[in-house]
Amino acid sequence: MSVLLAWLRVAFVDLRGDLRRFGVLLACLALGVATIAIVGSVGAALQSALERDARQLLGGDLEAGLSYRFAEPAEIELFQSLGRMSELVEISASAQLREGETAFLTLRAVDANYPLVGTVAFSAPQAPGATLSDLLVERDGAWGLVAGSLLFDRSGLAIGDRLTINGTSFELRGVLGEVPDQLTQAFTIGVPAVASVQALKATGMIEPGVLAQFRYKIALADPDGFDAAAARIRSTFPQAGWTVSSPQNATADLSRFFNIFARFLTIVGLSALIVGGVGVSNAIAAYVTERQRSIATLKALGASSSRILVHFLAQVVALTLVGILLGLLLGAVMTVLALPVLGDLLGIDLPPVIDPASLAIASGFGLLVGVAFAFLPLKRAEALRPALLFRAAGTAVEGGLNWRQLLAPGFLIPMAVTTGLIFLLALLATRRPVLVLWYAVGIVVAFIVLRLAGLLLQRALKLLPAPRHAAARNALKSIYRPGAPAPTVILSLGLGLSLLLLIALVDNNLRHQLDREAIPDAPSFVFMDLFDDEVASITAYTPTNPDIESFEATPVLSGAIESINGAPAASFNTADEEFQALLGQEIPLTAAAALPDRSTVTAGEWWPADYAGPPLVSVFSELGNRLGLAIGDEVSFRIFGEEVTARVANLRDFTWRSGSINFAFILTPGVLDEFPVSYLGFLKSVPGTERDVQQALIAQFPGTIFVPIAEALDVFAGILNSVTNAVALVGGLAVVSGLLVLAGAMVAGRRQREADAVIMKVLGATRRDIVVAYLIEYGLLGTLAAVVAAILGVVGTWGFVEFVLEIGFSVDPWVIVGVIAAAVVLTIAVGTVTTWSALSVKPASFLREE
Amino acid sequence: MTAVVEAAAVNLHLKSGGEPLHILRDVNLTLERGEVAAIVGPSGSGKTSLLMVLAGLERATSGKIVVDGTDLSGKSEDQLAIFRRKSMGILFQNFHLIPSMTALENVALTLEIAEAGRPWRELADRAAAALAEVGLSERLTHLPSALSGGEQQRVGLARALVAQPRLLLADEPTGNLDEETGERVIELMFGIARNRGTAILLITHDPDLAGRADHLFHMRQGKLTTEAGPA
Repeated sequence: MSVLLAWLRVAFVDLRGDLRRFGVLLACLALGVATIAIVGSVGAALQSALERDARQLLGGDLEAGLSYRFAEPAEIELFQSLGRMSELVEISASAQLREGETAFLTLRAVDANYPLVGTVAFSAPQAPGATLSDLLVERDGAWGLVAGSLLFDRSGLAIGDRLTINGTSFELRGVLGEVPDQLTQAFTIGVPAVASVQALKATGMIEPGVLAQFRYKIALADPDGFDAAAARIRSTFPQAGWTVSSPQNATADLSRFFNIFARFLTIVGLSALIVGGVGVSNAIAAYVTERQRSIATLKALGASSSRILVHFLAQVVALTLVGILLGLLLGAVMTVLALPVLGDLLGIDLPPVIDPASLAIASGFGLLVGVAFAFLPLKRAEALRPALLFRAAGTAVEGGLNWRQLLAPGFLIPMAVTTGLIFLLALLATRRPVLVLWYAVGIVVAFIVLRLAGLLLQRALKLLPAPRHAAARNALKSIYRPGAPAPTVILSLGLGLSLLLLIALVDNNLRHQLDREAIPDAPSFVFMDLFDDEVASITAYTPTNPDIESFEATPVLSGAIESINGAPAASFNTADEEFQALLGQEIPLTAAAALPDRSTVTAGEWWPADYAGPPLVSVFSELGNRLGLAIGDEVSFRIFGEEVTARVANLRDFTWRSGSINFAFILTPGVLDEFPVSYLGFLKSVPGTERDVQQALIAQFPGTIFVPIAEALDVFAGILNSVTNAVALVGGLAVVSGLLVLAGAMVAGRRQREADAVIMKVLGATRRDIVVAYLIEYGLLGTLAAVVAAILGVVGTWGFVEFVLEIGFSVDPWVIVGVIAAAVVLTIAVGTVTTWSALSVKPASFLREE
Repeated sequence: MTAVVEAAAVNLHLKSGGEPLHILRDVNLTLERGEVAAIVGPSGSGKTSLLMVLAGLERATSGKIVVDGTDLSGKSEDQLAIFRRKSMGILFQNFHLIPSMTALENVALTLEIAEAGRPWRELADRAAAALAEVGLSERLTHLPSALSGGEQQRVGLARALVAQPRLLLADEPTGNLDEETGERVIELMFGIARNRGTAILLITHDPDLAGRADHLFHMRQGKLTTEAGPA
């Protein structure tokens, strides 16, 4: 032990001196660690906020929900016996504003007790001090409506103006701000608006078949009595089909979304650190090159190879710890700054608190990456032969390890252990083994491909006939000469660029999905809650309007999966969280005689168009496979309180975003006849006539609810923007890491480049001669790195988009061209800057120093 | 006969730590084609600085320097570089070979700079011939790290002479070599230079070597003198 301590003491004393040479190493580590720390801390803060505010986000201790009717008096009595109760109904509504103008609303009808937890933010300048209930009462022939600012902005309406909903008059009395339980509801397309339950009943909109959510929020007398209260509701009204949610259930979807998002960002952050690891490797390699004489001296004085390894490994660990500390500080500061901003965006309170577990994980990653990437150059130091160094004057050319040395246990075992630990830590951070495995495969492939690309370039250039022009000749030779920085430049630049391209192309693909042109038969308008007569009217009207291409309607109602082959859905476990969630809530159901467009039967058979036998069901194949469904299995649904059992007739495959109507479960015709259904209608207009068609529909069918699809896509696009901006921010840190690594690779070779430039000048080369040679060299390296990165980026994007996001894959060639061009320019610029400084060295002063 | 080197009243002032140093004081020097001149003197006397000034690697503060008919005053760095590639070869005490280039490539580098448009094969052949002249035809593909000090210096010599310069400047060419190896390098240097009529100006601490020169100069505190008096 004392021997080891003595070795360590010498190692740390040896580290004294100008630590600025380790600037790039420290920056690479710090940036990577900071990125992971920020992502982890923000993710933890979001989860913690959801747990802390779950009760407020649900709006009570318990929520009982139905999709087809108000609670009956006996049910209300039970709810009120459990604690303080508030009634809330959510429904889509079309508001008639002025002549020919409508607005699509997401209407919340509330009672006087709402909200039970938290407060509704609103402004009512004409009624200062008024409560929400005060604003919503009927007065002067109109009910009160408090609507989101978007309604006022788009329509030019003001407080005091009136509108009608289903013929009932409403007066705008306030501007709606945040609603405490809004975050947990599915994101809305329409403008949010609040009215009273009495007002909703007065509109007459609530008819059997209308898609609405009837929610009863209860602040339990016994806050810990959720289980007992839920059991009582289910056992007292077993046939009604009440969905009973706890605060944890309510936040489950959001928690899942944040989790998925945080996992993805963790992977991006880990990429930043791995790219930075290349910088660590380059910096340590340069340091070892610089210290070759010292190493030779130590060995000449009797130091063993293992002592050399311990000496420099201790220095690497010390530097890594400094880098980690800097990264944690940076991560903590940025987390503290980011959390309140993010909280404002999401409408939840996110106090600036650091998560210790996230910092620990980030530190672990930093230490493992630092050691793993420094290990190869350290082994080179261990293997240096002092005799070689004492033969040559000036800077010696350092050799690499041969295959035998790379496969030796002394190298292989530590590398296997550290990379294995990185993998385990990634598993711990993301809890997605398949994602981490494929990510690891992708990184290894990227490394191998880029390394091979560098080697192949060198081999190919060596075999090429020498160009006639000396500058070109020297440039090409500089790429394949021993000790050339070419492999490092290609690896460093290639990794950073691959990541940048991956992020840019994934963003592009996501946005393309929302581009209507990407959906071949995208409808122009979507109608909701249509009844039979309205469907008939619109169908009859369609041929009379030349601007309308087509209209189709499909029946839809909500139902929940009750059991599968007799086993209750609640007891069913799938490995997939998203499908697990599907089993716990109401889902849209439909019936159809014919196989929907763009669908294919993958197992079983589709029923005849005139089928009239026992209920059958067609299941989306991916869902069916994950549930383990086979042809002939029984699935029971609870619809309007009644149990409907259907036998699986086929599994069906389709593309969700093909533009045609499709559902996860389709029943045979007639199954839904005894239930009050409404229809979803899809109307397609001639491109460019949407505005005219909208006016015509409002005039012809004033009571119908429809939304222009462009508006819906705008909402999606707005959410997507926030998501992709966050990804781009984190990804940007990874790219900065790549640039640091590239700069480090250039700086590491600077001394030799200065010496070479001086000799060239002495021999009569002009600055132009030297610069032209470097421009050719770095231009070639940048181009190759960019081309390989483009291939890796496109392949990586395809894999991610197809198998993780499960959306269509497309490539925008201009994005790739732009990134390649930027990479070439950047490489030349960085190479030129470092070369220019080398050219500034006066030959006389250099030669004198020697 | 036109002199290869004509230096008149050359002064060089440099700053060291803010203090001005008068390195060269009114140096006069003339060297004809094919002549060998040796400069001896204590360390720090300005010998290397004189070499730098004659090579255009350092700018004289005052005076006139004409080398191979080119007046070095007022020339830009690039013009001086072009001048060097056409007229001069330099041999260093520390060799200064490019470590990642083979012996052949190090020698050919001079030709590539001076005759950029020529095909590589031609330049390589000439470089190989130059290395053969110094007895290194077996070491063409070896890196400097694989060569002994004497071999490296011979590569340096081949590099300095391959472009057939009018003037060879040698700064302590045998300073890092043993006596026998040094002698061999000197023999080669003198032989090749005399055959081609290349003037040689060399700095040395070796009195025997100095004695073999046509002219012997002493440098002391920046002043250049011959044995007979000021140069």
